[in-house]
Amino acid sequence: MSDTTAHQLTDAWPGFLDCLETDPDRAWKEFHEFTWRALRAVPPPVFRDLDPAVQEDLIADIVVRCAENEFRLLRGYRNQGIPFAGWLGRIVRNRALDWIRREGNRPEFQTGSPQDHDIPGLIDQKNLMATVSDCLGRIRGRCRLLLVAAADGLKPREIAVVLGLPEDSGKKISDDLRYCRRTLRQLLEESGLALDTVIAGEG
Amino acid sequence: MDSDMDPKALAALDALIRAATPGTADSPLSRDLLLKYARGETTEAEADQVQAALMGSRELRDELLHLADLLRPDAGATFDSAEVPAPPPRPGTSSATADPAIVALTPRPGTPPQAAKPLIVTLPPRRKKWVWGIGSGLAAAAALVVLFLLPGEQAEIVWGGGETLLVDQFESDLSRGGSTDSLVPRTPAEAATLAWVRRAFWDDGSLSLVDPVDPLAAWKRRVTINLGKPAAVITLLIPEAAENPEIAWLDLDSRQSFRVPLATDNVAASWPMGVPARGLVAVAFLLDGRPLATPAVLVEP
Repeated sequence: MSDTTAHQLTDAWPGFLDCLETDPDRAWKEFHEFTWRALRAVPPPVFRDLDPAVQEDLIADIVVRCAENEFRLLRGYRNQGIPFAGWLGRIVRNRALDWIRREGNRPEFQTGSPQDHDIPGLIDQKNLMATVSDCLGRIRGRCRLLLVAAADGLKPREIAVVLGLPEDSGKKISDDLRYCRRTLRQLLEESGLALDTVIAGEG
Repeated sequence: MDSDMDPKALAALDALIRAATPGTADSPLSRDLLLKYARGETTEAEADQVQAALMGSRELRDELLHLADLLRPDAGATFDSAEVPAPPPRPGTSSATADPAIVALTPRPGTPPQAAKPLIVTLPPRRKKWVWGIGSGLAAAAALVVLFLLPGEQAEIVWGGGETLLVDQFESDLSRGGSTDSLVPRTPAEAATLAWVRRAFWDDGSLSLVDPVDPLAAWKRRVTINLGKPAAVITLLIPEAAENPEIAWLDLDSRQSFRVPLATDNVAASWPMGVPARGLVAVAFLLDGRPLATPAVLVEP
């Protein structure tokens, strides 16, 4: 194992952060290696759905940007008790979103990630959204979070993480999700909003 | 996952939920509590607090998922075995910045001061078939061709636009003999690459996009350079009014510099032996001994 990989993936304060000023070349080398390893080994959501070549571009971009102007961005890092790799994950996820937004209007760059292109124009309908929000607000918190996580397109294992359940809770999640969706649909219908109408209005 | 609803109704419901819960705001939730939740170590009250925050922030949900992945037992081994490319030079520390040969390339009269500043760009160390150039478009393009033109291949660089654009040229385009102004990315990866370079260029803010020889709009002179490789040539179209055009190259490893006169139309200027075909080079297109624009510094991955 090299010196650099001695940095643990879950370190909140990897050693290179201590030598940004005293030994910037070493800090650069180790930060570069850490970032590539961390983001390749455990890519964050959104980013991980991108084409591998785009992922590489974004990693390379972030590595350089963090080191520009004498590590200005890295100096802004504050130890909040979470792994440094988590901080990197936030940055790269947001950069991935920027990339998707920038390129998303070009059909060849559409990604398969579930976003709000499903029903064009839907989100512009404020009254409709107010009704949905109101109905969601009448559902108990855990059920609401389950609905939101499922709408994110998360897998059962990931939904379990969000809900704080054991990983093998797939069956329970499926059952609960079915119940929660039925409840929301019923509330929407009681509020005068039938899904069939929404779908019919799509075109 | 849900046999009660047809897929279209499910998609509609999910889209409604997403639209009604955009959840983009940053969460005030303390990150150590989030980490505790990811480890399954929160009390019931703390879990409620975390879940309330998760409900309102897609970013926080993604952050939690990433944390949970980082904590997985096999993540450390994957981290240790992940492939890492060689690091590029640390941004802002290329030897070019301190090299007197580059510093000596003083700007042409009337050139915006910042145009003479070498633009050092650290480039993503990836695609081996790509070379990157930022700076004087023409110089960068010339460097790209020199670095990647294979024996027997020819490329013509047409630099006649009113825009001093960075040139990020792809090998295949060059070997076909394309115009640097007509670069059209053909794949998402190429588009991302181009976007990256453009962003780096524009965001830097240190380089004026004003072409110092503009409005020299007549681009009539055609100069062919023999690269010193068998049958490899580069053809440049340069301004008719250009005085003593040259290309200057600096090998940043050996610190040797070279100048190639381009003074005569359609005469092959020999490429000096010893110019690296690979590696870190700085390039400037000179008129009357002074750089036309910012010298380009190229880093080949």
